[in-house]
Amino acid sequence: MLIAERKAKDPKQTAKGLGHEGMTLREMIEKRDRVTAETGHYYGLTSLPLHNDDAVKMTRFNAQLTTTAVFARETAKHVAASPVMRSFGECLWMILQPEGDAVTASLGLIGHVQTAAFLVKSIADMNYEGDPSLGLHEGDLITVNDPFYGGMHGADTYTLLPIFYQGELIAWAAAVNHITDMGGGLSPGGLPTISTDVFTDGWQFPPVKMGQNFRIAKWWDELYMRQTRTGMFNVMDQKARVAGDKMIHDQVLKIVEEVGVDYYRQATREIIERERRHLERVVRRSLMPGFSQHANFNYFTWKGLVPPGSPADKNTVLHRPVDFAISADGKMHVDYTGDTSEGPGHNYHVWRGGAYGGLSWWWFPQLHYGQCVNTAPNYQINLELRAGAHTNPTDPFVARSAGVLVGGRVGSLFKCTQYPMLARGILEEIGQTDPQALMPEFEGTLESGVKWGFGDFGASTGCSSTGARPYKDGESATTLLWNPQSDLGEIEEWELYMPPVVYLGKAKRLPNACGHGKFRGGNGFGPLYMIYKPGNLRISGSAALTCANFLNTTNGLAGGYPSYGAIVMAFRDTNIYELIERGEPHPTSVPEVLQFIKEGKLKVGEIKEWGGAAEPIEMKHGDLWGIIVHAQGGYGDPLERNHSLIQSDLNECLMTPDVVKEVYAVQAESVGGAWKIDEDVSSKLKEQALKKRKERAVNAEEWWRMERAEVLRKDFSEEITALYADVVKNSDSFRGKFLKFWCLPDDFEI
Amino acid sequence: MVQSASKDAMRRLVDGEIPWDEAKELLHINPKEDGRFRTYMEVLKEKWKFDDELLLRISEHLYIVRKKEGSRVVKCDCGHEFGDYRANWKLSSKVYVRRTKEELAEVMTIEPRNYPNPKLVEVREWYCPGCFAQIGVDVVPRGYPVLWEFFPDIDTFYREWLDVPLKDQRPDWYEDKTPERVAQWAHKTSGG
Repeated sequence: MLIAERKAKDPKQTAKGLGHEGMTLREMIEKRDRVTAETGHYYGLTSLPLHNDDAVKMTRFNAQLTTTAVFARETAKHVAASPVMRSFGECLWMILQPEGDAVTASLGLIGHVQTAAFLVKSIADMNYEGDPSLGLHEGDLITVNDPFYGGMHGADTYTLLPIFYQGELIAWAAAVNHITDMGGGLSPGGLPTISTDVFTDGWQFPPVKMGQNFRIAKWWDELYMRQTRTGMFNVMDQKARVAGDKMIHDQVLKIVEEVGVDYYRQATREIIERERRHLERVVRRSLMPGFSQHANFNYFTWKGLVPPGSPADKNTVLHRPVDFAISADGKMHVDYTGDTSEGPGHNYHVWRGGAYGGLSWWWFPQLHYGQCVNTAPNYQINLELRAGAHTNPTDPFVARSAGVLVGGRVGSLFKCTQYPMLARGILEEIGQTDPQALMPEFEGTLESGVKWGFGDFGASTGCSSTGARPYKDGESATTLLWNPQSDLGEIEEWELYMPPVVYLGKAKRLPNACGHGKFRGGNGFGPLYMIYKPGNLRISGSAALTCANFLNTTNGLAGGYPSYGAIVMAFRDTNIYELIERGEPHPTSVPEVLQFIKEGKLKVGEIKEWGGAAEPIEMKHGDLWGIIVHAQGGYGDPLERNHSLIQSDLNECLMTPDVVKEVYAVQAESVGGAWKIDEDVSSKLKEQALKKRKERAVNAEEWWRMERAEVLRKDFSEEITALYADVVKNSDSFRGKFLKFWCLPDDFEI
Repeated sequence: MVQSASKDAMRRLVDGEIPWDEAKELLHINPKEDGRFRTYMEVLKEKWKFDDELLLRISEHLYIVRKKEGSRVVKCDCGHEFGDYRANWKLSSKVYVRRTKEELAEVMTIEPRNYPNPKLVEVREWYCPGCFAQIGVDVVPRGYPVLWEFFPDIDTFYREWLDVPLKDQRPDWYEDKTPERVAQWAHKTSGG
């Protein structure tokens, strides 16, 4: 029975609850929601008395809690075996309120501070404390990974441990990490590339009590070993989550003994309200009331890849627009109601908890630097969703194994806040950085007969580039939006876990791989793998936050161009080992492979190419598989770029002379082995470039008439026709926008 | 620790010439200082070559100004005016649309130069009709309504966030006039 149905059949909870003053968990959540809505302050805190009475004590208390979470992470992650958790740090520990709000968190995968409250609400809705078949006791371990119950995607697995003090539920210890494989039916990994519905997503489950008395049940380990490709990694990840939770459990009780439970209860609420106020203050100092909009898309080419007759057997464009507003009271309003409707053809469905979690990739790096990271932004950001859209689906069986990719539109949120920042003069913070990722996932059976699966978080997603700023170029391989404080680890370590896959190149900055502008975005990079005696091996490119087919996750600003999204290429039947045996140079990136082929240095039997996610394909000894990703957008008109920066780019091999001439109208000559700009010729080239613009541009009105005629003729590709047909019909907000802009009749349909 | 952006630092930020180390000091100010907007506007007004009153900068080259006769318009720093700021300025721009693979490959320069997919999107480049600076780039499917980068609620900002209400504040200054602009075009099309 789904929790919604269970709630309808089980409206009464009259027994004394586990919470403060005998309230049930559900009553506590309802009270929090009610008083927060009534006052606009978390839990009705219109003042912060403990902060005001003794700020030093409060600061020390907050530090104790944060240190507890950090200490749990830095210790317990070493219990894990997977480098995703142990080395890369794709994990998080939190101390939650009994109602589920994170009070503070460790370093790491911080987006989950926004999802935690939704998970605990699901536990309350399932009536864990009142239903004798479930029960909620000291030492219970509850694990959940199905995004339907509040999380972001199936690989992000949470384990919660209730913390009782003298019989009262006062907190939860919560851990989350990304497991390396969730047992997808059609493709491997933590973010399966293809899944038609929940039945092929992999192993996803509601909040499950899988341990008691702080011990994991044996059957739970067996499930991981039998249901996923990377059982041992997943079992050890589970042990790590529990180990950290237990550390938090014990330490929180020590702190409560020290400060008293009344102080603990009030102070933890104050910490959340304090951070909400801080975010409001940042908005008021850095942004501006008004309205912004942007649109984001992704493209799924599943036609012919899923079982014949499946409704997912089609190519799908996912529409993910963002309408963003700031009201006079400093609240931010994010509207996703224009989203493509739910349905087969992609596995990016996500519910409200996951959608809030995705927002963190924007507000955390862009806006909120407070005393700690917690759920406070949920109370400063209103998120408008449409029931029946792929963000907030009504069908509980839709594919959701990659729902985390709601983050793909975080670039749109960045863009919506860049112009208000520019208007306020907060220029130093401007830097359109889009979350980019494309993660190789592997599965197969080694020549030795050992079954094997893994996802590479190392070179490909471990580090991203930054966008251009109004005063400097973006940088390569410097940041990662969703793990901003991660350790990243050593890239070489990943090779240990990928026996048939050898890095030929790791993170080499690629020439011309950026969004151009007065200041350019950081150059992209990506790994190139060589396959070595793989046995049976399939590789796919998943976690496609970005899509080269659309470019919309790599925005430019103020006239700067976007960059490309992720490109995946596979080269089969190559003679790469002959080159190596002869001691000749070999390519180290996808563009270099293309160059080697062009120059006849490398022979290739077959080339495959994807402008985004790549389905699993079989790879054999001597094949190459690589990604180009992570480039970011530019700022300002490329024709205004300082020539000394262009010269520097040429000499650092970040641009080539032909591109410099084409995009920047600059002539460069090689002098003594170094590039120099020919200013006289360049001056003429710029004049010609401006003349070209004048000749081929038209008035917006003329363009509007031409494009409107195409709209009236419905002159779109099959995929775009399907997109408009859906959202013009089903999304009132987008329909209004579309009809109004093109001045179409009220009964217009596509 | 730097607590605020000096006027000199602000000037170099606006000119795009501030060193990264100095910019990082400003990045550490959290939250930003109360007087930032005032300093910014002082710098912008010193650089402004025209008689109109600056109200806001909204992009690298674009400003919202109050003209002497009382209208508020978007104006490029080259002097070209885009009309009422309440309508998306892109509709008063020049535009060039890239649709073919060859047109896209001119500016999307990573090999294999196959992206974006012309079957799915077009690239709209917006130019100032005065100086032909490129002031915006959008990548959207054909037929997609024009994206509005930022429509500020200027009166609320000055009145409630800065506590310096503008003398000409009116409720309709925050009314989207874009639909009126396109309705006029449609009216002309239908011969009305």
